[in-house]
Amino acid sequence: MASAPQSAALPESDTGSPDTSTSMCALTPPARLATSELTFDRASTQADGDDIIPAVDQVFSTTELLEMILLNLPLFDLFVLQRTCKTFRDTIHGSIKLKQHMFLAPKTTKTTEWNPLMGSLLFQPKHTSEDILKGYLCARDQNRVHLLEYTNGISGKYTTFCEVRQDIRCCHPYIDQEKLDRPIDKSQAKRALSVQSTVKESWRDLMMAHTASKSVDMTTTVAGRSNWLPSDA
Amino acid sequence: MASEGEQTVKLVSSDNVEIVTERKVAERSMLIKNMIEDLGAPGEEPIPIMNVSEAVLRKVLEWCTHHKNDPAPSQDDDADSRKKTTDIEDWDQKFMQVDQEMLFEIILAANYMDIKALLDVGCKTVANMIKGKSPEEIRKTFNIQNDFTPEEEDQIRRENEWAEDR
Repeated sequence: MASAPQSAALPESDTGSPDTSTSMCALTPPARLATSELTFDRASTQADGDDIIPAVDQVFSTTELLEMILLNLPLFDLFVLQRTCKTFRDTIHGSIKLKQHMFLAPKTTKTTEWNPLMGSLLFQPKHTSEDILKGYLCARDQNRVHLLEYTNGISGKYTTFCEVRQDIRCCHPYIDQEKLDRPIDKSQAKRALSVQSTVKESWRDLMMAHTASKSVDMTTTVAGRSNWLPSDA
Repeated sequence: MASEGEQTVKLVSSDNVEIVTERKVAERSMLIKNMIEDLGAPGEEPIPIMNVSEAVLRKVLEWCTHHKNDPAPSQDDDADSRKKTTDIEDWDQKFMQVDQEMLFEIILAANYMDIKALLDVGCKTVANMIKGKSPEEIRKTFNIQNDFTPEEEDQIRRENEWAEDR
């Protein structure tokens, strides 16, 4: 009887006060926790049904569970569905596993894993009427792959500019050899790079691949054996 | 002891219903397995499954019964097993053909009861429901409120426009 809790007192949000973050988001974690404690205490008292949070909301507001679900999705979906609600977006932004899955964060793998988005990004860009950089991609750090692609809206053509290490060039399934063999116009590439877009498109952070590290992989080795230091140390 | 599989255990759901089941079945749940080990005398003392209602618990036990002879899950990193989304065996697919609320109840229960394989099947099932849908369709399917301002939503849409319509 005691408490008709705060949640019951929520205004019907039609008053248009967008800053009361009380919740436009249906999935507020505090409410969930409170409820799940309560449900056991008063066992099956079905009295106030409004307090029962649907299981779907409980699952989605539990970061680990939403992460587990999202990890099963193809990459394109993950970029697109960030727009669903803040919970989805924040979970994706906050999860290193999801970012690795999306090739937004580096991961060391046993064998090189190519980013499956590369093919479509490199060779099926969306053309626009402006002469702007439409796409460039570069893999960072240990990959030593630098790759740039941009569209020229005036001619409607796009050019690929690459510096690709020999071994990677050979095994990359998506790179069109013909385009690679074209001479690189560095000044054009530079100009393209300097064009600022108003929005930072998310593909700009994409990595080409997760690589198998050639040097000693500390994490694997430490887990696997006790003498992880190089023997000549 | 060799007769471990024939032992029974008594579980109590959140709505106070007692369910007797085979120990081997119940021990698909790491929560129960650990409790049995802690309690020492299986079968005598009822084990409370505090967060799971009778209906859900029965459903979970149905899964456990079907999978009671599965090999123990490997400790290997789960990363690889996650890859194949549609990779759910037929029986599990049928098992997961329940209403949406039950599906998510099962996920919560599997998480609480620490049944990794069931949790995995549940998550994959939901992933298959999300796959290929637009944010609008996802909101509708799961009754999720769009809590972005139009400006925020537009910003995210533009950042990820390259990935839409595929």
